[in-house]
Amino acid sequence: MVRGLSTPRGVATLGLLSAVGLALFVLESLVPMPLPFLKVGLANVATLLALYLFGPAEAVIVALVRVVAGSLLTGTLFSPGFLLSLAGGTCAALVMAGARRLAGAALGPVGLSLLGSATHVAVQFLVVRFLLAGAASVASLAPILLLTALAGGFAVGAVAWRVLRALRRILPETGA
Amino acid sequence: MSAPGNERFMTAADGTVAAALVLLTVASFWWAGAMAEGGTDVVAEVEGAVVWKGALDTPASAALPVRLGTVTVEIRDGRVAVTESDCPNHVCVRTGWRSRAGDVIVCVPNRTVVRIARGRSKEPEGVTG
Repeated sequence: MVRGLSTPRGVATLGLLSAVGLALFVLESLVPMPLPFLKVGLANVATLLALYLFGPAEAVIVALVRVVAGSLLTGTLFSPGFLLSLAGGTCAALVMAGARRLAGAALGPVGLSLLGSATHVAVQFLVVRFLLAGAASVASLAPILLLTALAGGFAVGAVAWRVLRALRRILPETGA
Repeated sequence: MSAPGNERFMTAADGTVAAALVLLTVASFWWAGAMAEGGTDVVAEVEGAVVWKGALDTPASAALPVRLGTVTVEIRDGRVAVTESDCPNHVCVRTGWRSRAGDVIVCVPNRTVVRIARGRSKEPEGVTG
């Protein structure tokens, strides 16, 4: 069912993508942010690449590996931040996969990435609203979270587009 | 899966998604502003102790007993003011109507402070994200 895990080459590529996502996740956690859960979402590049090179299931796998292993490395496993990353990262992967299935080539990496980062923010709102705080404080966070999602989503989509274009040129058989 | 026309940086659908997200971001600024104003508490303190509380979205008035007589606080149309005061120079009354979080009306002779605090009393307090 999971095509990427049926060949040695696929396993190796998925491992590579997970490692890239993990490295970006840890790198981003080192950058000081005014709010603990404010994220540019760099690691989403790996999820997006897995979605293009393989498919929906592989994209979710890469997102899950990154969040769980990344939280172990940054020491935030099972913290509120972990919950936000887990729910946000998984839902973003699912929405991007669904959008690609529905829209096909009409949506490029930038559009998918923006949908992913918007989903991440929406999930954060829900988690924060029900677990941590009241509606008023969530509303006051909305502008900065959405602005970050807009800028981060665009940047991530642009990077993924560049990488896919380069891969297509040097490795036509990847089907990117 | 290879799509030859997929080399373009942004498709029309990509642009639509981006425009929608920009609109949503702009709307969120408005939403945040609206929530912040609707959810503000009015706190009146006399000689350092909180003697009366109200909310900007609930019209109310109170005559507070103070050192020199009474200070009358009124909330109307989402704003708060000290409308009457038994004090020599009426700085508090001349401060007028206030509506922004963090605004303060002070009556020094009566040791009275009326301020607009952030947050609403219905929500749990002291939770940090």
